[in-house]
Amino acid sequence: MLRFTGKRFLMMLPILLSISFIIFSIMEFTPGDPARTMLGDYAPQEAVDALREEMGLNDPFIVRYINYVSDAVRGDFGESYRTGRSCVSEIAKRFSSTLKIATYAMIISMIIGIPVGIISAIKQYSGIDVIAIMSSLLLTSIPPFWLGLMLIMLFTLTLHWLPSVGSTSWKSFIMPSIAMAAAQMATLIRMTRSTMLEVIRQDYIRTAKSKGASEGWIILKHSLRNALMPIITVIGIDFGNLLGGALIIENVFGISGLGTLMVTSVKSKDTPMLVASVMFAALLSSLVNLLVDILYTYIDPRVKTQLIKTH
Amino acid sequence: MKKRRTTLFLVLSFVLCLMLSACGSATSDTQASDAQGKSLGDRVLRDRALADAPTYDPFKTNDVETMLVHYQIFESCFFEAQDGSYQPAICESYEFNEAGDVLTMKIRDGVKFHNGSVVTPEDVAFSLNTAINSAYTAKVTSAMDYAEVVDGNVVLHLKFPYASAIGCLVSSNCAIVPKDVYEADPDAFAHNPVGAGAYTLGEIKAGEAITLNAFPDYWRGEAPIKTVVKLIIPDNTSARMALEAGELDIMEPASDYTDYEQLNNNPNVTYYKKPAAVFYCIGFNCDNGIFTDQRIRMAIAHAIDKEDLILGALNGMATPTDAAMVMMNPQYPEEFEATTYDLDLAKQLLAEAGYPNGFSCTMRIIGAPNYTKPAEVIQNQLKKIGIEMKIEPMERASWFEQCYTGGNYEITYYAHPISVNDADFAMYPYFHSSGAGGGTNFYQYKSAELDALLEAARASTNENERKDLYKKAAEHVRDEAVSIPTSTGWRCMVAVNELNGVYADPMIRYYLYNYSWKE
Repeated sequence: MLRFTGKRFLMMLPILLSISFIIFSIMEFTPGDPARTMLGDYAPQEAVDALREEMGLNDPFIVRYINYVSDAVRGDFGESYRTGRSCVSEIAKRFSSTLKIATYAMIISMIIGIPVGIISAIKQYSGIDVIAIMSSLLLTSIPPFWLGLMLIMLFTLTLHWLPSVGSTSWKSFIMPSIAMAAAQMATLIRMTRSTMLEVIRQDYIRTAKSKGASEGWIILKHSLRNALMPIITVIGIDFGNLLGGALIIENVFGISGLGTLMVTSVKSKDTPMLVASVMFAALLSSLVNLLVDILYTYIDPRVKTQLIKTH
Repeated sequence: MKKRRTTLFLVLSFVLCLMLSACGSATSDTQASDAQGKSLGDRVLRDRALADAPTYDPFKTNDVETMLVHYQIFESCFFEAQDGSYQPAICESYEFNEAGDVLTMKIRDGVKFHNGSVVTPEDVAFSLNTAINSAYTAKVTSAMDYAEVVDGNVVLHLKFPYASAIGCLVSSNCAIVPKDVYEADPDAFAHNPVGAGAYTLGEIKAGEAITLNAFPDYWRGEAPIKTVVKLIIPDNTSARMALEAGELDIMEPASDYTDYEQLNNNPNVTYYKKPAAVFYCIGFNCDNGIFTDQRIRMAIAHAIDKEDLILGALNGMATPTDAAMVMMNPQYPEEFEATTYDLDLAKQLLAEAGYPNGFSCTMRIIGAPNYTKPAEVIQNQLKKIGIEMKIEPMERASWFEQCYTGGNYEITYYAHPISVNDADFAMYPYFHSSGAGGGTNFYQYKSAELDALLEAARASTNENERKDLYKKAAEHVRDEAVSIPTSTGWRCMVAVNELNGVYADPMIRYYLYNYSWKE
């Protein structure tokens, strides 16, 4: 298991390197000059040229990229062109909000999505099943932006229950988490329903029933555990995506997270900040997927055995 | 068993709702007690910001949002009063020399910085020189040469006689900072600023909120509102809902006025508006392409119905503008003959230019609603004279690189914003030939006659003479149709009724010091 984990960590390096190269290239070849953006339209061209020289922007692309990577390996991800502060500290300030919303959103989507999916599978073609399917379609179709605004209209403007903006208290995270959870919830409902339907038709389930096992025991002990693998996969992928930040939700609710940081970096051609934040999001995503793979071994012992044989 | 589970579920749901409503009541109660329980001076003012301030170094920014915070923390030699006049601040009195290129300022005694030290002439001279040497502040310091202390006064030398110098000194880019603190560590200063303004910088929650606390020793007396929290809310709809929910006290509404009806009809808030310090215009590349022909430019000028444009694109919330300067500029001509709307004349001019059946062209614009909507109306209007205009929205950085500095466009629609209320700012950068070829004169228009008018106007210290010169300059721009001014929008502000001193500042230069809660 340790060897497996170690190998996976090593595999992250080329992924992160590729991402950094892609982002660097995109920022290099898209229009806009960070020096001009910083100095403004009225700054004389000589001043812009001098700032470009100071920032090293006149160096060849490959030289700048190699310098960036060699610094990054030592933990120095550079300073933001826009704020002059360390990219790592800027990301750290914003990550806690993103982590909170992503975590709450996943918890909400799991608490609702999985049970509803199970019930929908057990009561296939019933009224509950139809409602669950229609709800998941609705949740997938609703734009998060619109849902966020509707939640604000209901819970802030009409009911005065929750604050609409900021992250001053735990109440501030309820609506953004719900808005973010909607699409994930829909996916989990459908995925859980689909995998449960496959599993409950298996012979061992029929055997368990014929042996007199209770329905609850059959669902939780026999069916769900076998259906969990694809569900866990989806949860891992979704959580990894959520950790990268959700710009729209952050904008609507005035929460400063990774999504907003990335977009601001793009707009201001802040290459070091953008590369650092995208790499960070990619790292998180990779770590989550690694955790999911490790979790597989606990859910399905056959996976562990296979891993041991291979590694 | 099933019934018990259902009952349990219903009971739990009910309890959850009760808990949430209790939390909600607490929130409302807290807000209510904030509003009523505390003394008026203690009531926090909740303002809205579009983005956080990347730096608190006044000499290293030209971002409007950042400068809005800087105006509260820093004091300059002058400040702008609500009526738009410039009043002495750190400078107590001033005098220009006869030539108009040297400004002597007597510094007010006893003005304190936030760290308790007193503002000295050396601090003022140092600050002005730092501003002058900074590339970020070129917009307001390009006419300044250097500052020095002479006999206890600060003497500012200008590169040429410049009537707008006082207006430039109002800018937060010319803020006065303590020399010893700034020189010791400019990088640290950028995160922990020390100014002489009405507010000190308090807690910052990156990307979410900036807190400002009233400075007790402010030279004009402590601000009536002791604490201001600027909540960072990028989305206009969210901000409006926060205002309506009582989470915000003041905000600038959407710049495309889509929320005007809703906010104007809200009995709890007041909607303030004033003509903005910016005008929009159709611009032509006068150096390259089909629009080098003045007749074609004039044809388009005669085909634009400005009232129709304002109604169609801006819901009527703008004023037609004829002279190529901001309407609030003191030099804006009281009577100015506008280009007539005359489709027959337009077609005739096109025929003379060799395009009796019209032609095709592309308008490259920034892909934002304040440009795309008018562009669509213009497109329809030009169809009437046979011009098929394609609209190409671009990302802002692309437009600046390709059109503004690159000159790679035929026709465009853009704005002339100003940072000092003077026609020089509206005209000189955009029409003087020194700005062509990659500078601010993105029309690439060169005219010795226009240059002479603009140079004479900026150097003159006689206001009547300046007014006359700028009128002639505007007539030149009109007759040559270098650009076609179309409209001046509104600068708006929305605030709760309990807030006094609110106004819509055309220059987006708000001093929170002016605000107070109604008794």
